[in-house]
This record gives sequence, structure tokens and C-alpha cells, in this order.
Amino acid sequence: MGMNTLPLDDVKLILKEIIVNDLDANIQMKDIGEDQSLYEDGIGLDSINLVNFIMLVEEKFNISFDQDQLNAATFSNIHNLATHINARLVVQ
Amino acid sequence: MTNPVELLWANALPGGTLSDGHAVLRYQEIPDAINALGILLCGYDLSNSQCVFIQVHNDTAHAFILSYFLTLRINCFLGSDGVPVPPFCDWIITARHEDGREWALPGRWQVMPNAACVKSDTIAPGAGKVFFASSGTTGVPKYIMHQSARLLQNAGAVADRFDIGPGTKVMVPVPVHHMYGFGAGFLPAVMTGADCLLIDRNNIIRLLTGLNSFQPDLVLLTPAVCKMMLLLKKEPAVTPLYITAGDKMNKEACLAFEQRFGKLVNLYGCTELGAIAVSEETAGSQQRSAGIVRPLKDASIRIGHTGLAEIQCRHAAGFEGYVNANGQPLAGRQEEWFATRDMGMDTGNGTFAIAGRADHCVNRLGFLVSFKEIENAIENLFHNIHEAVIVPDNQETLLGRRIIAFCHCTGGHEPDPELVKKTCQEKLPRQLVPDDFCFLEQLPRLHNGKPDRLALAAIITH
Repeated sequence: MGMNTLPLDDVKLILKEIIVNDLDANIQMKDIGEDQSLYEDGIGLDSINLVNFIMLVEEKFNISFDQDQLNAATFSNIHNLATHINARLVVQ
Repeated sequence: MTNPVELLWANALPGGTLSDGHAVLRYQEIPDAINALGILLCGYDLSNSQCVFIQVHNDTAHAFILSYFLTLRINCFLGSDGVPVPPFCDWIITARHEDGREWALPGRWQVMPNAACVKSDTIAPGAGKVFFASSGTTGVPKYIMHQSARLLQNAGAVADRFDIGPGTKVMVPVPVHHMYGFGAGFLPAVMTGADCLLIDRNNIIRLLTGLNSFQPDLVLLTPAVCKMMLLLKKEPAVTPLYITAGDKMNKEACLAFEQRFGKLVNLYGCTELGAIAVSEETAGSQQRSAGIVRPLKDASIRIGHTGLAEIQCRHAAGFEGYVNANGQPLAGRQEEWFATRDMGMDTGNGTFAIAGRADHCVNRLGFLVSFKEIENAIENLFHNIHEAVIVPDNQETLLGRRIIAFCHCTGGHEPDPELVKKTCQEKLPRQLVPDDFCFLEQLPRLHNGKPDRLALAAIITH
């Protein structure tokens, strides 16, 4: 199954794997709740890791976020971000 | 006699607001809210307190309580996460609820006495003092004491310089507990009736959200945030005037930022003196990126001799002095001219350029080179080295004092130190090439976010 039609749960898993494997964040898979804030009050992505996360997500899913899509609602937690990405992949 | 509550808000117009993206406070509401809060807090007699400690966040509630202290001339200490309460503070005030805008309700603020308080003969109650933690690295706590009237004077100079007034929109994503956010963002905005958006715990998402929704005229940034914006390459829909302060950005990064996002001016200052000088929007990007700045009114600059020398500043609105944790005065404020410990050079026509810290310079091959110059050169040469920090050790080499570059890389892939050094040798002037490179997952930091050079030096020792 290509990247164009990924189930939502697969998108979530990929996002978590990026956080655990590709960021210098020292975050374990078990620490990531899908409804948890991405930031200091939740998963704990600091400002540098957040920038790297955005770039890696774009690379992994072959998408580009417009500046107005980089907003607090979309990037609130894994679930919301995955939902946004999933919708874009279906459109592609 | 003029009601002091009205003085700070003399320029407030009905439309002026202070916001944090959630709660909005209209300036015209503040005088009544301050009076109401004063009634609620009268049992604590804060106007006779020696100093009130507040851990400041960039939100409307804390902006309101700061306004309260300033208006009533209550001595206050602007604290932050990790900064201990100094004994000269006799009260600690904390925001109790994180949501809502009940500024003057009993449940909003928790006021506790500081059990470890020590009486100070230096700090008179009701004197309108504002204290900041020092960013020094000696390990001995030192606090910088300002008079609120002078802070407002300096803020007025900043407001004049940037033409801040009613209708101007100022976005402040830098901490208000620090002189930059407080003196160059928050105060100039509120005292002139400008709209002000505070962003707490800034990151790229919060920054872009604020830019797109608030559409500011002025935005205060730091070099680290500028670099993150460059990495991400997403242009917001607005092009405000961007202001940066703190460590100097390298020329190439400045030019790249301006090309992509719009004008970026450098604000030079320090916690002791507030804002001292600013680069000029009209000067051209080459001059701005070279770090050339012009003093604000009330500030005069003296640089000892031609070439690179220490910058001294005479400032009509500077600090009163240093105190220790017990509120006792420390040495360091006797002279008319303040030694900034920054290196710079006169660039003519009333302007000067900043090179870096005086204690962050080293003689290499007969050249006096600032660490910042080397750090900028490395960061510019290697796109995956997010930050480089130069630390000297005690050994001498043929080039001069041995220096090590501690680097933090993006992307999780550390380059080969030998290869990095070889590239530096090929691309950079010899005096700018560090003797060794060390890559760290995280650079140790001080409370103010700057690299902890003492901690890095300790790594060399071990």
C-alpha cells in the first residue's frame, strides 16, 4: 500500500516513530499518547525538536505544510496532526 | 495630585489591548482592575513590602500583575522557571488559575510570605524598584536593581525609535521576565497604548500562529528563533519589522533572513542598561547584517581606541546597582561610564559595530578574534551544525590559546570531527579554525538560555 492511502493508525505510528527514532528528544514510544500535547505540557518537544519534527514529517509523507497549516490546532497532538495528514494523503 | 494609577495608562485609548491569544485585557479596564485588586490585596500590605517575587509568564494575567506593581510602585523581582526566590523578597505572588480572566478576584492570586526573607537596608518599600536576575556565570547570585521611572524612560526611547503608539501592534514571543521582552517589548507597548500580543514558551508553531492571527507591525525575536525560521523556510503572510537581540547573528544568516522574511534590525543592550542601540531600517541589509548600530537617545558610547576595543556606555536610564541575595549592595556601578564587557569598533557617523564579549575573545596568529566570529563561521559553513560554542582551555598552541568547538547538530547525525576540522582549514582564515571539535547531543545552558561555558570548560578539564 503506497503512501497515498495510509490508514490513520499507520500515520499515527509513523509520527510516533519519527519522534522516538529521529529526534534528539529521548522520548519512548510508551510515553506518547495520541491526545497528549506535543509540547512541554505533554510529550515534551522543545523548539528545536519541533522544527526538526516538522521537516521530517514533510519528508516522510512527501507533503509540504503551508505557513497557515503550521498552526496550534493541527500541531496540537498526534491525533490531530495524523488526521490532517491522512486527509491530504487521500486527496493526493 | 495625579492618581498614580492613571499615569502609566495616560496614553491608553479605548481600542488598545494586551493579549496572550486566549485572554484579552483592554487598557481602559486596567485602572479599575488595579483599584479592585488593591482592595483585595490590602490585607497583605504589599505597598510596604521590601520586594515581591513573581515568576513571570508571558500571559495577560502576569502582564496585569506587573502593571499593578509598576503603577503602585511596589518593588518586584521578575523571576522565571528555575530562578530561586532571593531572601530579599518578603512576599511571593503566584497566579493560581491558568485560565479565565478574573484578574481581581480572590482566587486568582496566591500571596505567601517568604519564610527565608532577610531585611535589607538598601531596598526601601514603595520605591518602585524592579529587580532582574543577572546572567553572569560566576556562580554567585547577583541581582540587577532598576528604578521603574528609568525603565519607563528607556521604554519611551524604544517606543520613539520604532514609532510605537496607539494602533501599533507589537508581538512579544521573548520572555517578559528578561530585560529584552520587558523593556523593549512589553513596556513600550503598554505605555503608549499599542496593541500587544504576548506569546508564552515560544516555538515555531506558536510564532507562526501569532504572526498570522495578530498580524503585528513589530516582532521581537532571538537569533535562535531566526535560525529556526530559516530552517523551516515558511514565509508568514505578513512582513513586520523583526527585531533581534542577544548574540550576534552571522552576516549570511542575517541576509538570508531578510531576503526571505523581511527587515531584521539588531537591538543591542544589556540587563543593566536596557536598550542601548539599534541598527537602522534605512541603512541597507549589508550594514544591518554587519552588526552596525546607532545609539538610542539617552545613550552615549565610548570605544577606547581604533580597531576592536571594549564598548563603554553612559546611559541616562540605566540601572541603580547590583545587590546580592540578601539585598546588600555589590560593587560595579560607581562609574559614569559602564563597562559593557562587549567588544566593538567605531564605524563612523555616530554608529558602531559589536563584535562579541570581551571575555570571549582570544588572540590567534596575532589577530584578536571573538568567539562569536568563529561560532558564526562554523554555523554558516555546516548546515547541520545548529549551534557552535567556542571554549578555550589553558594550553597554548602555535596559533595561540587552544580552543575547542562544542557543537550541537540537527538531524541526529554527527559529522566526523576530523573532517569538519579539515573543511574549516580549507574554507576559513587560519585564525578562525578551532583546534578540536566535540559534538554533544545537548549543550548545557544557563537559566537565560545562553550556553553554559563554564560547564563546557569543565568537560575539557575532565
